Amino acid sequence: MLRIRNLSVYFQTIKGTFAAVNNFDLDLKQGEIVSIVGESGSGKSVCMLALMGLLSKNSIIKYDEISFEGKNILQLKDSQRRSYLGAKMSMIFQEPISSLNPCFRVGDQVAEVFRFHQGDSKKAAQDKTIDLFTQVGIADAKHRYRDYPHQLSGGMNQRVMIAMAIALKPKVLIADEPTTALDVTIQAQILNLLNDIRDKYNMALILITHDMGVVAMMADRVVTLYRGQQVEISDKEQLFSNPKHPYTVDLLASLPEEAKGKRLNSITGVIPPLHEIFTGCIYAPRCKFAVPECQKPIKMKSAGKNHLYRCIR
Amino acid sequence: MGEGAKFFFKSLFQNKAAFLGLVIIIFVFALALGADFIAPYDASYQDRESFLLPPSWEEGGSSKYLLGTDPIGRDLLSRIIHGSRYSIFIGVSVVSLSLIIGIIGGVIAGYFGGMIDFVIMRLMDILLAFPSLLLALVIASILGPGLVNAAIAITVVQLPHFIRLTRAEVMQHKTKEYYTATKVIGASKIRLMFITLLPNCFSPLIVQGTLNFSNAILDAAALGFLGLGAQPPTPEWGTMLADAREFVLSAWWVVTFPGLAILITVMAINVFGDGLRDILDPKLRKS
Amino acid sequence: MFKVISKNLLLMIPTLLGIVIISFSFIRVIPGDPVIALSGERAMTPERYDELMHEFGLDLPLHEQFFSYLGDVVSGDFGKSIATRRPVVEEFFTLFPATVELSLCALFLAIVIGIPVGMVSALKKGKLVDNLLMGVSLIGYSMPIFWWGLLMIVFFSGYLGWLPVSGRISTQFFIEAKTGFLLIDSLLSGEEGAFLSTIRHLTLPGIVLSTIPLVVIARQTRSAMVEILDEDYIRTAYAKGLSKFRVVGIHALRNALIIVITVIGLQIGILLAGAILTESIFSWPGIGKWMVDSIYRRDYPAVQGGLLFISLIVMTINFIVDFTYALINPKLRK
Ligand SMILES: Nc1ncnc2c1ncn2[C@@H]1O[C@H](COP(=O)(O)OP(=O)(O)OP(=O)(O)O)[C@@H](O)[C@H]1O
Ligand SMILES: [Mg+2]
Repeated sequence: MLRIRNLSVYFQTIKGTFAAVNNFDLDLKQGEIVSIVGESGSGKSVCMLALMGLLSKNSIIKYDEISFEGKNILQLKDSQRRSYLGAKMSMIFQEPISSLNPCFRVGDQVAEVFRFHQGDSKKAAQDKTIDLFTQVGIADAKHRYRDYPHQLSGGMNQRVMIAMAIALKPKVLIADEPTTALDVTIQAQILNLLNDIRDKYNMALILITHDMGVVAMMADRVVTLYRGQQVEISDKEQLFSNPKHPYTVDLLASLPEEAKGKRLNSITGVIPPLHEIFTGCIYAPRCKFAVPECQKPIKMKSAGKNHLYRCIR
Repeated sequence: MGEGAKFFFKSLFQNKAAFLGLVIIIFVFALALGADFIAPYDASYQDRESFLLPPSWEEGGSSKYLLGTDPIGRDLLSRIIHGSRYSIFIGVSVVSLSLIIGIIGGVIAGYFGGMIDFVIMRLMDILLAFPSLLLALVIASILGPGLVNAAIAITVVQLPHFIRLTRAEVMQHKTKEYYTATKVIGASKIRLMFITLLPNCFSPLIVQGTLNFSNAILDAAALGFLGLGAQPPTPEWGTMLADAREFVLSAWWVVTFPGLAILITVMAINVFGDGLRDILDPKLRKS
Repeated sequence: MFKVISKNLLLMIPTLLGIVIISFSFIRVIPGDPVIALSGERAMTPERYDELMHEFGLDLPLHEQFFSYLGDVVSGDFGKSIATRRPVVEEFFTLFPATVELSLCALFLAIVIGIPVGMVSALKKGKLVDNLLMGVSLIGYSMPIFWWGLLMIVFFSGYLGWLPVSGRISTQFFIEAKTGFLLIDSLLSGEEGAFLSTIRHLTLPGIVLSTIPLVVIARQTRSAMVEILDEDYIRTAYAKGLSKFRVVGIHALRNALIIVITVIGLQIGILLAGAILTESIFSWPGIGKWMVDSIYRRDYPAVQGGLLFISLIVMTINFIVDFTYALINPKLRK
């Protein structure tokens, strides 16, 4: 349904132009949950924002193929492209509170989707929104409709965001770290909600996260991203039982049973800055197994059905 | 040269507008200092043969008087050059006076808080309740017309900005760790106020000072124009404009050039101030 | 919100008192004798002097003088003008509409031009249009507006001969003052050409007075917009598939207006200060010119009353601005 080949994103800054995402591939089938994991700054958000056409003006996007239901949405006319956004493909953002407009009632912000895409009357949109609020677990939906974002908790705001994103039953829902900003108890509720919605509407979900715990709970397939490069793509079961790339191994190692749900932080070292150019493996400087060979360009290798990784080992 | 200073000058050179502003400011200062040598004539020299001569490039103009002459035959260019002194004087005296008083008042208000703060802030509220120029006019009318009195009047009017800014900065820095650390080792109040806190508040004050420099020049010119600033025959730019008012429809140059001098000077300072703000204090950009 | 407002109201009390003290002291600190200042009579016999002294209450102890002045002020007695022998309040209300009319026109111009200019500039940040607009705005910002007024006269009245130089309306018309606002009165009068004449007289002073507020509004709108366009919720709005027009014109603008309204409120003081110069240049019969003339005439009671009045107006407007701000900012509403 969604196919991405060789997507690269560059940023022009005062320090020069550098790539934030390199040669990103993705296939997404209906009803599937694909998880994109990686540390902060690895390019997860940038990648999805590029797909939605929401990147800032200083970005350059290159790709061989992007097709959504057979259409290249990035090349559509502006008005046509907009008819996809928020309707067939929508996105939930990292920070629920700052992602909602502080000046408008949360209900009206959701109702706007109905009004703008379907031309619903004010009343109809309002009723649908209240209905939707109840569906995403907002108690007392009628009154919450009239609240402003600052009057709601983070979890409530995230529910509003979810309501907004699923209002028109999109084919693809991108959730960018939907639980990072929330309390642990709320996290599970939100994830369950996403899972239920996915079941109900049979939509595909791209779930971006730091958290291997979330991956374990939700994903069908997993894409591991490291500094803009895919280092491993695999089904979840295979990844957990037989991780190939040392980075994935380290990520999983940072997830002892008792620390489930915590942010990963146990890999030593930091992601090298984007303006540093690598010919070989980008992870080599932090890798326990690094050998001189790692400085050469490395291709994706197969490790069985639906399992690719980028490492010489 | 320290690392900070190096960065400062590098940024300044990169910001072309601000740099140009600085060049013009230096030029005006130079004119003010060297007016006696640079200006072709004395400011009060009258050529009784040539009243209201147009600029030299206009028909009827004379090459002796580049920008023409005024209604009583004085060289406009020379008067403008001499006039730069008064604007610079006003700017420098107003800004330094209001900086000194404003800093002391603001630091005291911000440091002590409580009743002292309340009283100082209410006093500032009172000053701010009057439109600035009106207050300056009234003060000037109480003190009597004249350049020095105008400077005092404008200082009073601008004071609230400095006091409020200093106070806000001091209050902000009082919550920082370095302050608590110094306080714990038992530093004296004066030391805490003026040696520990104050230097950290300088950037925004410098920016505010620059922007108020240009306001002071504008206000002084306005007072001169309304007859309550410098008095004729002082070649203060605003006063010159007031003198030229009745010729507004007959001799455009006596009205145009003094005003242009004000505009260019003020603009240079504003551009420079904007640049300074961008370099020194990015967060100030909002206000 | 109620808290914010009542706090602001409470804070106004000491300020109001301070303003009254200042205006009370004014007559007593000006050079010369307050009796002469208040009566305007220069040569008088000692008997007359004592009589006036008593009439003005200047023979009472200072604090009693103050309380009697405070009482007068509270009951709406702001003194009597020497020049016209009329109560300052009366004088003030005759002239005030002219200033209000001029200021409102200027503010209107400043808003309807300033906000769009700021928005365009923000959307085209760093591009030629932005640099051009901000360059021009810098000129406006640095402009001595009395000079700007003179230039306008030189060009539009002198060179082109299009627009009148002074007054509110051509002298051929006699318009009965019903509201004091000539734009309305001239329409009500039904006299042919009166309205047009009013507009023509209003144009130059209106433009001149609007310059500084316009530039300030444009610059502040731009900086508010630039910041807001970077916010997460703007990205959300785009992600909803909204058009750029809707995102910028509704989602971003609404947030920017909260800031811009405050800026507009702050312009009132600037407008009144500008009115002093503008009215003087264009002989506009408003309170700005009246204040300046009163200072020239040494009509101190008029200056004293006017000063008090104007500051009260500024404070009232500031209060209304705070109130509006609280009203339109959802974070303060509850
Ligand atoms: N507009 C931009 N201009 C320049 N660089 C950018 C821009 N947006 C993102 N980047 C850079 O791209 C890189 C990837 O950022 P991205 O936000 O995709 O990371 P992420 O994986 O989503 O991290 P996080 O988990 O913190 O959300 C970062 O190094 C970031 O600094
Ligand atoms: Mg991200």
